[in-house]
Amino acid sequence: MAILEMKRIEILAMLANSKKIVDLLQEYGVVEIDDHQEESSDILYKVSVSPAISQIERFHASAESAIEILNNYAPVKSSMLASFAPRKDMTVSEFLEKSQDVDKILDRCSKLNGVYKKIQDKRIEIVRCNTLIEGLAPWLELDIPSSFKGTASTSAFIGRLPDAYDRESLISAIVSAEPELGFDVEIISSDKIQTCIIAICHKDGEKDFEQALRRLGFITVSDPNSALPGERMDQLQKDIEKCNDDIAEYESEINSFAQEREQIEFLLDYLMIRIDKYKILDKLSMSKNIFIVSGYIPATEVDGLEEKLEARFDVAISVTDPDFENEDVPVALSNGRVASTMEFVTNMYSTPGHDDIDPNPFMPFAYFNLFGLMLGDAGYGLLMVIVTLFVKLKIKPEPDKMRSVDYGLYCGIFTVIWGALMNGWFGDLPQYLGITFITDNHWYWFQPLDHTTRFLLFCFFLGLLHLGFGVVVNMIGKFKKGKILDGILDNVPVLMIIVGVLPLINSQIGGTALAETVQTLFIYDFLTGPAGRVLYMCLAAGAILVVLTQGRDSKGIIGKLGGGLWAIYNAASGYLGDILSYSRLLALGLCTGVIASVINQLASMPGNPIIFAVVCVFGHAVNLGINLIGTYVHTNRLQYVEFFSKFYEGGGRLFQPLKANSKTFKFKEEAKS
Amino acid sequence: MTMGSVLLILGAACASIFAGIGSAKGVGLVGEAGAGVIAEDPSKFGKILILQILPGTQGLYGFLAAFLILNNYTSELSFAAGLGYFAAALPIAVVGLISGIAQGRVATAGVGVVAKRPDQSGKALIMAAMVETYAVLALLISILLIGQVG
Repeated sequence: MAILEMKRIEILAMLANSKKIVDLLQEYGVVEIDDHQEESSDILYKVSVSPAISQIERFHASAESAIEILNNYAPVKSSMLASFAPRKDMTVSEFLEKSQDVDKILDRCSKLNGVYKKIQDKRIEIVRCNTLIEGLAPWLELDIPSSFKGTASTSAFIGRLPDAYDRESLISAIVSAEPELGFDVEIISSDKIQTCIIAICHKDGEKDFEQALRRLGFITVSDPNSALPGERMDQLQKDIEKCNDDIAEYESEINSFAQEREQIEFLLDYLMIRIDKYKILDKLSMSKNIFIVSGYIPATEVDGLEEKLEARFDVAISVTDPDFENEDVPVALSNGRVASTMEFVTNMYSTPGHDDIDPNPFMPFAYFNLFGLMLGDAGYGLLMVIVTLFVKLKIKPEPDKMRSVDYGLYCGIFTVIWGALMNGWFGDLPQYLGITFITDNHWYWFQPLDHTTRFLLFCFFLGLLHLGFGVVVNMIGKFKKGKILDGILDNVPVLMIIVGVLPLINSQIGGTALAETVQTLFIYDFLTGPAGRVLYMCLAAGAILVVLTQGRDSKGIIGKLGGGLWAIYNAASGYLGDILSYSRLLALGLCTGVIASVINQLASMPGNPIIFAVVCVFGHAVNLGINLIGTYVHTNRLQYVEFFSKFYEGGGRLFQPLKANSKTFKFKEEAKS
Repeated sequence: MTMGSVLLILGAACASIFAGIGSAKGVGLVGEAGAGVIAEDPSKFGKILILQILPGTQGLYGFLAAFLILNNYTSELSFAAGLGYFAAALPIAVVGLISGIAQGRVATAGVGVVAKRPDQSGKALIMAAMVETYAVLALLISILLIGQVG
């Protein structure tokens, strides 16, 4: 259980079967197909299918926008936990049957998109009408059409002037510019920034008059129209109403598409699978009659695939060991139920390299303990357990998602344990509810707020254990690679130091600020007794050994000694920093508890049970939310920075086999009779 | 109320004020950058929210220190003890202020990672969490100092 052995597979078969074979590979989902390269490429060639891909991608986009429109207009009610729901089962023959309808569904999609486009057009139309109405508002008093140009012997000017005028001030302004002219003006409307006017003059003076007006900043109406402004306004309003009616009609049309949602979801899956498949076709090498597909496959899957292929087709399959030096070989992991919950945490840091040790099996115990201690409230832990159990048992997610649910469940369980040890039940909620038996019977280890120093030292102690475990894993990793001597020399002295430091912390725990409970623990007597002296000697010996061994790759006695001294300095400062880092367990743990207590206190202040309940529910929900995120990030950090730095490098590429990447449906093979 | 009691209150106030300012600035910075990304791609809200909350812990630490200090409140505190509590508040007050802002800036840069390479967003989280170590250490010293005075 760990990193799977990876093989290189080449499949050679008749070209006529190429699509069927790729289909089978996709259905089986165990081969990561790479670009097949052949040195003598005189006969073999490749076919570019990118036009086909982009065509399918266009269909996919169309179906996607159809779904989005349906989500907007006819949303499906779904709970927050719905994303954990398993995909619907569909057999392969059902899939093939439905595939016949694909064109029809696509048609429906583009129809749906078309209807939506019409709604958008109508919306734009409404906006346009509204803008026109706004422009018309100052002209409502005008009782002739705005396109009126004058009579046989007069010229009319309809337009606007900047600034505010009344009739007198406007006439005097024009007269002062052109005193000779005969004219008349009428103010239609006037406000601070503009004045709308109609002015009439004799045809002979038209030019001069227009110039006089222009000097005042006159602009003719921008959209002269033969209808009266009032009539136009009514018409526009009718247009808007009509648009709204149309939109309502289109919307009901969209709603009539609602029952086709499942079809469209199927189409999305279908197209996605097609896209993936076509992308593979690009990578095949083919000649007139045959084709070759190559890729990586976990060694455990080879036999199953060979059997399947050979049963249905004439194929030649060659399986070889990959060349790790020159190839980018992907890494596939296989872990048990508990360890696999850690895979997403590890992969977020880096997938293990092919010669790395898989850290996942070594992580869960420490991870969940650290998580539990950091969140440190049994009440919150219980909530997590209840929610995750509900999802697990009721919604029954698929394996991929089940892992995250399991992750939450284990985190929750350990949060309950550590919360109970630290007497945190939604902070100090039991006290407010009159439940005292926990405190009376002292059913807990200690209250962190009363014993911060003890808590802190306990965190350091856990940190030391965690780091020591990292060193042990490093040793195991080196042993596995056959570097026994390196494994021992690099790690045993460090372990001796770590073990030797234990009584130092222990004497601090027992010595000063702590209650008797710890002192009665045999471990305390053990460590302060003669065993302690042995451990101190162990510490000294470890330090000397580090100096002696860590410079072994340097040349000359001085180089070796210098290297050793440098190593002990590095170890001391590095481990000091690492251990101090575990104080975040205390900081975050206290935070959760104290804020929870403050919420309880606030809630109890008004003395009303209903307010108490409301404030408690709301407050604890927020506190849990914030602290969950903090705990998640910082537990990961302790893994990445402190734990992984002891043994883990990563840098691998995750195995991504060709498979059916469907969202809604899960394709099952039919039981063959 | 003695001068000592006033100093204690001042200390508690400082812890929550400055650490709070640091967090407010940090969370604000990330929020501004994050809103831009969400405008483009609303599905990244979850990842960005986590980044945004990260610089918020300094405020919680300041709050925690203030709470622990206030637990020791009496109206007849000696001047020396009051001054002691005030001094104990300083580490988380000052470091909380500065690390909150610094963490906010790292997390803001992390928003860029979420936008461009969402698969690598875990690394952005960890980089932001690195800054927090120093706030944790400051809080630790504040807590220990509070214990020493009391």
